[in-house]
Amino acid sequence: MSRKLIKQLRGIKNENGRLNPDRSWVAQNRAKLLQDINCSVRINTAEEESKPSVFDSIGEGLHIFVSGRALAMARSSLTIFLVGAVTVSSWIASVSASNDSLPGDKMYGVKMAVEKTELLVASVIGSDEDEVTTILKHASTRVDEYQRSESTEQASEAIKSLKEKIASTQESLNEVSEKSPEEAVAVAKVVEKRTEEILDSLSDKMSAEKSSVIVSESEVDNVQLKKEVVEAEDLIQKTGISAVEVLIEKVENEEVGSEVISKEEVKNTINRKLDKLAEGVSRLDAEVVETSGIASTTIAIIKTASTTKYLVEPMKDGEENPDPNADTSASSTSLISAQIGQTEQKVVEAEQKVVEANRIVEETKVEIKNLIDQNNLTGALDKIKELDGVKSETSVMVVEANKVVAEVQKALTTEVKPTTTILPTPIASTTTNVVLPVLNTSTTVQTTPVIGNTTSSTIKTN
Amino acid sequence: MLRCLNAVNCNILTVFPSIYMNIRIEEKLLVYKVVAKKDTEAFAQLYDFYVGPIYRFVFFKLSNREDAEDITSEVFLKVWDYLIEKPKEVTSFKQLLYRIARNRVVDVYRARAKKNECSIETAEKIAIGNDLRKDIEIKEEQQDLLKAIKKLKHEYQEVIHLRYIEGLPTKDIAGILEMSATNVRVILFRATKKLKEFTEPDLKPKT
Repeated sequence: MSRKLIKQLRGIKNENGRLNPDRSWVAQNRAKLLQDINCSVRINTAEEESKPSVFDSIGEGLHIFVSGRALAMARSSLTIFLVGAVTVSSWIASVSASNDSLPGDKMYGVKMAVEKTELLVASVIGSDEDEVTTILKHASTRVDEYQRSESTEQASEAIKSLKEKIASTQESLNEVSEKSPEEAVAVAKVVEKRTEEILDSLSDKMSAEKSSVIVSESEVDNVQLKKEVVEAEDLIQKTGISAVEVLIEKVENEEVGSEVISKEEVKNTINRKLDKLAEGVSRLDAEVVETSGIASTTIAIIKTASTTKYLVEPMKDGEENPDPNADTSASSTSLISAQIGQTEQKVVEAEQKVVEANRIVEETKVEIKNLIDQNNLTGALDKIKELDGVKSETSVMVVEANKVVAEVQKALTTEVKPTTTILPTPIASTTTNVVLPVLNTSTTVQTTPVIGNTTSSTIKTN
Repeated sequence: MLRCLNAVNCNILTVFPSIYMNIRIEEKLLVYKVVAKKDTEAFAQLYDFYVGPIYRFVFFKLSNREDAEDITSEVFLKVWDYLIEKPKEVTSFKQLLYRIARNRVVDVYRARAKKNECSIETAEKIAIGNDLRKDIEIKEEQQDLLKAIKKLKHEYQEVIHLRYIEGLPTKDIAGILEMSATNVRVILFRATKKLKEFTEPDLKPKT
């Protein structure tokens, strides 16, 4: 259409003709309209007492300001968003609830799933360092679970998983050491640092206390658990040493600059490892002393019991034995006595091994110092490895000593229980029955004289 | 702002979209006040802005001042009731006004047709002949233009009026006439082509 025509059309309404309303009519009509409206408003207000709710007002406002199509789109988007939000929040809630779960708990599966997802994300998105850090973070979680575990099964499960994590770390370390030196050093640093932390937390006082709580449930199970813990510690220590080996290799071959890692840093790391090993041996020393103490007490009690029984039995000759299991009990006691020799031997061996380990630690400290001074880092690491081997052997021997002591204690306890059940009165008619309850607790050995002269004489005889 | 712009040429809104946008927001705010608070003052402002366009729309169809005034007045009252009773059915205040006005005009056409026993088209022709020619004191060429528009089909008249005289966007016209925007564009194209033929007969293409 021509511009002229459009201009003419647009101009029509500006003409003061009849096409536009009369101004006076507009004003009058306005007044009349407002009057009518006001009247209807007053009537409606009188009829409707209830005020519209806030939600109604918001709904009306939305309806007016937002177009119908936009509102429909917003509604569907909001629905999708809410569904997503509910799903995510429930997932987050499950995840946070599963954080404190222990092996065997219902939520533990969720925790494992989250860890797997984390590891997957770290391996896909992150670097090798991120992946290893994630694995070691999970390993720390296992240690935490071990410390918080309420049964031997839970603790054992946690330690098993910890071993898997450490094995996985070792694999990652081996893989990355073949890649770029910088990356290998970064990963090795992380592994060295985190394994040390894990070792510390695994062997700290809390773990020891936790173990002692579990011990009270079953001595033998606990010794088995302790064996697993020692194996895990050994594995962690070896992985840490492997990380140091990678560091030494990269530094000695000058594959990385001093800005990545310096020789001094590696020397400090070796010294730290040496200190940790020495600390581990000292701990074993203390443990052996404790085991030796327990063994001596147990053996003393068994010997006391056997002697008493031996002395009491002739007194029963000619009388009818009230206990039909008496023969069995006697044979069991002799079986326990047979274990004593083995226990003594194991404990003595462990003591000797610890003494030897202490001697080696002192010697190795001097040797490593000299090697480090000569900048022979590989030689120093070899010594560290040797010392670690000695420590591992010592640990195994200490655990075995603990195990035999625990077995003797267990056998003793199970043999004692049936005898106590046949006691007619707390103060028994026979000396044997009186002495056996004493075997349950070493402290009551001193209180036995209360029972009578027979017991006192037995101890003296022994 | 609405009141100020009422006096100005409405087509300025199509030239300056930002002003048009502000007016739309202000209009929505006033409608919200009416719906939520039954604010008569807000409704009065809306009346001030739309009384002229609605009167013109009605008068253009009926060509009778009294009828146009009555219907315009009725339209605003009906709109008020509609806003109060069915606020959620209101998508656009402007479209609602024009739709109600249009329906009322159709009612009048029907009443007239029944009364005079002649068709709506005939009634319109009579109206053009009487009122427009006698009452509207406009320039001769504009009078010719109006005559030319009145010769168009009813549908064409509406789109020409709403688009070029009132300056409404296609989207609003589609809402008022209850058809798609594409349909409006097609009708507008045909209507302008026809109008051109009437106003410039020399340019009529040979068939």
